Amino acid sequence: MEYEAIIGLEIHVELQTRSKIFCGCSTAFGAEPNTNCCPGCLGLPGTLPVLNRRAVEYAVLAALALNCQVQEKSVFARKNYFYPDLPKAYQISQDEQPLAWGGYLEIDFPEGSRRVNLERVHLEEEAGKLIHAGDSIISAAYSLVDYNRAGVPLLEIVTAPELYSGREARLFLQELRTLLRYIGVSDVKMEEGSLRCDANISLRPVGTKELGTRAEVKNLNSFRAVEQALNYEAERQAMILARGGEIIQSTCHWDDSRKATVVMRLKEGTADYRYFPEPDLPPLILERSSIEALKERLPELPRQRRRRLQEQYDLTAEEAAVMTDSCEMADFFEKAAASYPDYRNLVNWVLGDLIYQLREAGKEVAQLSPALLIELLELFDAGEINRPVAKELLAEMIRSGASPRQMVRQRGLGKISGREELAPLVEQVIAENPDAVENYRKGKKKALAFLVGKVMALTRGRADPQELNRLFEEKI
Amino acid sequence: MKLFEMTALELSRLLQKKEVSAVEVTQSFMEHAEAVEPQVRAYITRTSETALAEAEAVDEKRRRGETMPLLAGVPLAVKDNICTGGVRTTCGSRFLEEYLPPEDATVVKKARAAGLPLMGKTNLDEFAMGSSTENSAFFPTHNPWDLQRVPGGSSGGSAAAVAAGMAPLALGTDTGGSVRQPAAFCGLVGLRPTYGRVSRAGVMALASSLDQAGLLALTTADAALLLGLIAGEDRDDPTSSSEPVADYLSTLQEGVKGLRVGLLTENMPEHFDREIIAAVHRAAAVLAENGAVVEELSLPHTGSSLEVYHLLCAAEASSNLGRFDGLRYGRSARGENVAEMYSRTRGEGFGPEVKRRILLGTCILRESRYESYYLQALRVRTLIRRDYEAALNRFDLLLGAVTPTTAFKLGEKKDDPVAMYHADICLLPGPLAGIPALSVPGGLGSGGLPIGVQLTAAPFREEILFRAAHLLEQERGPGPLRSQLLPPAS
Amino acid sequence: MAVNQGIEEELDELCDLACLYLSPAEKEQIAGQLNAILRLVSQIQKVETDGVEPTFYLAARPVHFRKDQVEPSLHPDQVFRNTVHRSECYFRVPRIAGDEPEKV
Repeated sequence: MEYEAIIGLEIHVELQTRSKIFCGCSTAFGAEPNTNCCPGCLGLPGTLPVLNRRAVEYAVLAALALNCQVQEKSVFARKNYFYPDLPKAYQISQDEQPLAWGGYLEIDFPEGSRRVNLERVHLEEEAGKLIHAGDSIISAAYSLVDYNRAGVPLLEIVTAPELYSGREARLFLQELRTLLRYIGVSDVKMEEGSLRCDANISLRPVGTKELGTRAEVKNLNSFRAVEQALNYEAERQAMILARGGEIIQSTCHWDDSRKATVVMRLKEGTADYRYFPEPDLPPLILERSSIEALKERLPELPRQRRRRLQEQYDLTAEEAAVMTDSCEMADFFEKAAASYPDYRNLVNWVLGDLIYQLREAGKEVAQLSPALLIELLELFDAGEINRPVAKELLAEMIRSGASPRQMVRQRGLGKISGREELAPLVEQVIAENPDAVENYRKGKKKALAFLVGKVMALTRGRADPQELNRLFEEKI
Repeated sequence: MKLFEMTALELSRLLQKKEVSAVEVTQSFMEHAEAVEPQVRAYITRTSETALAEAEAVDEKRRRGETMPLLAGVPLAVKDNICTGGVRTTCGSRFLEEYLPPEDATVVKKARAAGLPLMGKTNLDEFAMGSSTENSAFFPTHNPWDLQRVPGGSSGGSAAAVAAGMAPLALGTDTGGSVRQPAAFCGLVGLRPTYGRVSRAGVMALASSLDQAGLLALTTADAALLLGLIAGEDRDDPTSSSEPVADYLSTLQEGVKGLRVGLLTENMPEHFDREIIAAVHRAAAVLAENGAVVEELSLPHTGSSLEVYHLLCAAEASSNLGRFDGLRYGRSARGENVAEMYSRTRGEGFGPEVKRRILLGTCILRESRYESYYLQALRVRTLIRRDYEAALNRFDLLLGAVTPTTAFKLGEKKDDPVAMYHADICLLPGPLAGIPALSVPGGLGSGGLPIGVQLTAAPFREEILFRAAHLLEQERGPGPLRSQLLPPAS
Repeated sequence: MAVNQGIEEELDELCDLACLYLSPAEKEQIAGQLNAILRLVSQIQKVETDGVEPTFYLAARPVHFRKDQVEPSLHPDQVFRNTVHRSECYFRVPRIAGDEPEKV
């Protein structure tokens, strides 16, 4: 029998507010352990949660970008369980009345695009971080707790079981990451844990509708892990079924070094979290008008923009994808394109040298003015500087924000293309390199490049190579 | 009259006129406490040094001619489930025996800012669960009117401290009567304000939807003064109200003429002591003689208050008390693993009543019982609330009993939790509806024990409670009731 | 599970959920008391509540907000003031392994 995998994802995204969701402690990543803690996020008796407005705004923005129905009234609930990373022994979350219902994300899968539906989106608080002495939680003799992360606002996004392979799950997550980063509500870094994903996977015979017994897969710490783990788990379940075996509802842990899922425990029914409405927080009421106002704040979303950029500027799908990796990048490109008609050249510079140099300098594109890039390209296009100089100026411009035109003027970096200036240098190089000259005469083309290189070295890259070629051909 | 025998208002006047200093006032209460505290045991922690330093600061400011709040220099006792920064706050539990909160609760901040010297932290039933202060993990408190009897609870220490002249004012908390019942047993005015009127920030939670910080005082005027000081919206408490705070003292004398008063009948079943019922009727008569229109009234659903209260209180408490795992604070037990460490910590740290309520709450929040117990209790809460809404459309004030009996003997009900719960029957509907309620002395019963009568009004209408209570006080005679440990002024 | 049956059989589970150790003697005593309390509170089921909305909140107001600004956190001396489980800048707990509850 042939089976297909049915996958649903439960995704947690840390919202990038300055302070925590229910107290004023900083959310900065990487602080000394237990220094971003106050009576509230340590769960000291007597403390009460006070809701961070921006956390709500970010959650609503995300829900709107995901096409959800944002609820005018939602209710916080306590999820009760004991664990050392959970200071109050309950997590303030949402249960029966979440922030938003439904929604979907349109994904361009290689087979064609498809809508992946969501079940719900809700707001909750992050738990603290555990560090286990030893390789894993199972072998650890003790664990250390850092509550810096406890109380960071967290968005939970639950998809419908509408993904059908590890690859689809990965593509969905990547699209989600792009979207959330694009609208600026999260830095969505899997490696720092600000994007996390658990997956439910079950198999069913192709052509049937009923869902099989599912396994929950945890510890998926990279996009690659998501894909590999789910493919592995699908195969594992298929093998069990092929042998006539039965899938047991379980929670598994992806072991990334062994590339295998490990069953952690078998589920006995569902855990009893004793959810009830959080009495310390009155309901969250969002006026329709304020939801609409937030909707107005949403930029054109990456998928739409990708498509438009492809058409408007004649980009390939891959180019458009990189260009819309962040809203700032796409904005930069479009601002530049508005005053620079050679889109192709602009695209090549942006996707090549510009992105490379930004990364080298550790700078964000938002810190750079598109006008400076245009200035640089115009200098190059006009033949006033050659390519190596242009690249050097680009790097300098990103580092310091200096104007390329001024740098050219101040440092005398203009291209040397005058015969009067170049001829003596050509003579000099011919005199100093008789072997190369001889080789060239014998027909070795490479020797010419060597000689041109020598002049370039003398001019520190400013000589016009075409002019040099002509001069050498004439002289030799 | 000695200073420790005076009301807060009297002290405030003397202080303002600079006839006495805050240090003299504070010392007077401290010295009297030296004499009576060994018998009463109202305090878990006494903070005499802090109190004197705070009194000195007040005197210094007054010397410099600064305008001071009315209660500046008037000492205050604080129930030990209200956080005091750097002063241990035990909640009556072994678990928190050495717990030092980093910050003051909002009510304590307000009191300190106004210059009320903090006399100490008063005894209570562990985690405020109880009606006699016998559930304190440390020791029981004795009623200053009869040392063989309980002061009531859970704010028994606060009530005993004021009744015995160890502080003229005290803060308490009232989840299901914990201010009003000890006030009745100790002959004091005890106010549970409207839910949201006073900040809960820094008050260790029992049941978040029912908890309210309240106060105990010798007279209604004192209570009115203190409420004015501690009430108001608080950015640290999302359930606090933005309703403006009235000047309660200025309306105190307005009387009850024309007020419509509902006399609660279910509130006084037959098994109540006759002298209790008589006191309520006497109060009704006094109000009527002074121009109020008194009518009998029925609140049909309040009969279910006991069940609703215990279900909701246990449910919320089971969750609120989860944080006491011994890791970040509090006493902790050893364990091979986390689960063992936590469960032993909690097993050793909590007393029997706390365990009962945690287990009850855990039980009824489970999926299998959530609908039939927890949600059902919340629906009946709606019915009770509607009863009150209807009643308070017709009446300005409701009048009834506080307790079925006067103060009972120590040990009398200790091992029968259900009997203890039943004694709270009149105290529970108010918190379920979120309305303000006040207990005011209605005379003395057999054995010279005080009897309280209860007044309730619409949300945020505390001033009506004060007006009526003040009138009842005036009719009773001059000055507050005096316990044997606080002899009448001679 | 019958809604009103005796609590004895469920008590171990409740203790697990509540993370509460009870000695055998305590268990016996508490079971009896809990049964009495459950009998009392079960009366609530007799009240007719068809079509009645539950009252979750008394506060008439919707939740109020805090501005997203960083306020000072506690000094480490304060963070660790009330614990014996400090290990340098961490809280330290014994072995967790056993059963990891489902996490956020």
